[in-house]
Amino acid sequence: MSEMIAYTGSESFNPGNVDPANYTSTLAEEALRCGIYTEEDIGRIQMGLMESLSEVIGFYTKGESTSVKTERAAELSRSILYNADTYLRSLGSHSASLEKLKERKMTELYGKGYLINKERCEKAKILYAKARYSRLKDGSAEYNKTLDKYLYNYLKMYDPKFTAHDRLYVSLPEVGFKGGLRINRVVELLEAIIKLNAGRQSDVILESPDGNQ
Amino acid sequence: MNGLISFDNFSLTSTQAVSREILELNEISRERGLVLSAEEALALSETRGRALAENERIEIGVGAIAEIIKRFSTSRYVNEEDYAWILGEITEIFYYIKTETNDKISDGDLLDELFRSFELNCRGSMELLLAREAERIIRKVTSGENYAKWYGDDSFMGDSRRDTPEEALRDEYDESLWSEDDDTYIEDEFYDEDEDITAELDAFDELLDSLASEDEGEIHEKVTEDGDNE
Repeated sequence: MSEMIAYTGSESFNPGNVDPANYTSTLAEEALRCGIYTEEDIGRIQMGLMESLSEVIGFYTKGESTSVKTERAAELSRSILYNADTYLRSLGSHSASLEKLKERKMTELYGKGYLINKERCEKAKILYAKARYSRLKDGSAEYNKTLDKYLYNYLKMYDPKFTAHDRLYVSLPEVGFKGGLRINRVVELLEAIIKLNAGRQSDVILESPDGNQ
Repeated sequence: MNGLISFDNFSLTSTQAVSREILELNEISRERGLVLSAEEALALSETRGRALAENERIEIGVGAIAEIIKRFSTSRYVNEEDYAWILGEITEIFYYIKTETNDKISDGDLLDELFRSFELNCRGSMELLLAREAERIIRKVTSGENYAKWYGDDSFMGDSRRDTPEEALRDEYDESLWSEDDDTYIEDEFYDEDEDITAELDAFDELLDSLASEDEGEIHEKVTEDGDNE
């Protein structure tokens, strides 16, 4: 596969055309453009996404409904693709991703990605508790809102099966984070907040879980 | 997240594929003398597609229409002439209700409601089902636990009239306490023996006494007047 990426006839694979935020789709598109994939390969991948969507709809409706609203189906598709993106990007190279995308079922790809994002979510919740526990005494309004409201709502609503692609929108220049963050970046944000809190010991509100100071 | 591999590029289960699956269900309905022709199956498949699109829904595979066929092929009001038409109407109203209730009702429960309404409340009248029962089902689902309070519990009678005061009272207290002979309430069993309502009765008596002492003259006059009228 790596040899095919190096040279594929008249067109060569251009990694610059692969968007990390839309990895599976743009990877397949680039592979089709330069002849690594055929139209049949794309059709099979598309069919795999549809089968995965059917499965996820079943999970979402707990088996009680065979149909959902179109916008809900679109959201579920995005979640499936984000999970597939997560797994394929974890492989570390485009060639490995292309091989897996061609040979494996979409249900397998998104299932493995789901496990990664589920682990990230659980880690984020633990980090969130630590961040709130060690919060800054004189944090900015945005800092406090992020800790009290935005992160809370985001982690409460996040579901690696149905809303894996959800973003948290923040603006925290003190830790260098701004914009829409996916779950992997939310973990990094929380690590940065904990690091910030720990760096100024005299300003940290040390509240133990039982409320004593 | 658009692109080559995305929801926007889905080609859902084709009409022909759904039509073939519908024809396979003839094996079940044939026992009751109900069979869809190839043209009818295709038309039903197209009706399904149209109903899904109109109600902004998506369904992969043959989905609910298989259950609709299995259920309504058992109806005593369906015959060979109107079988295809009835299935089409039910399919349309099914997806309409699913969207109008925001998916609060499961496929199975909705089919139960539709079938029961069609058989018991409408006695096979599709006009009644569409004009009256569909909206009743939507109200019932969207009202939730408030349905009986807001609209009256019509689950037995199948109409949407409000309860009369006697019926509301009967529903409020256990029906077993009503005497079947003369439709009176069995007073001895009205009160819960364990419940001490002495304080409440005393308070009520005090209130009456206070009112009586304030307007003693008026009450005496009224009693006298009533006594004269008797």
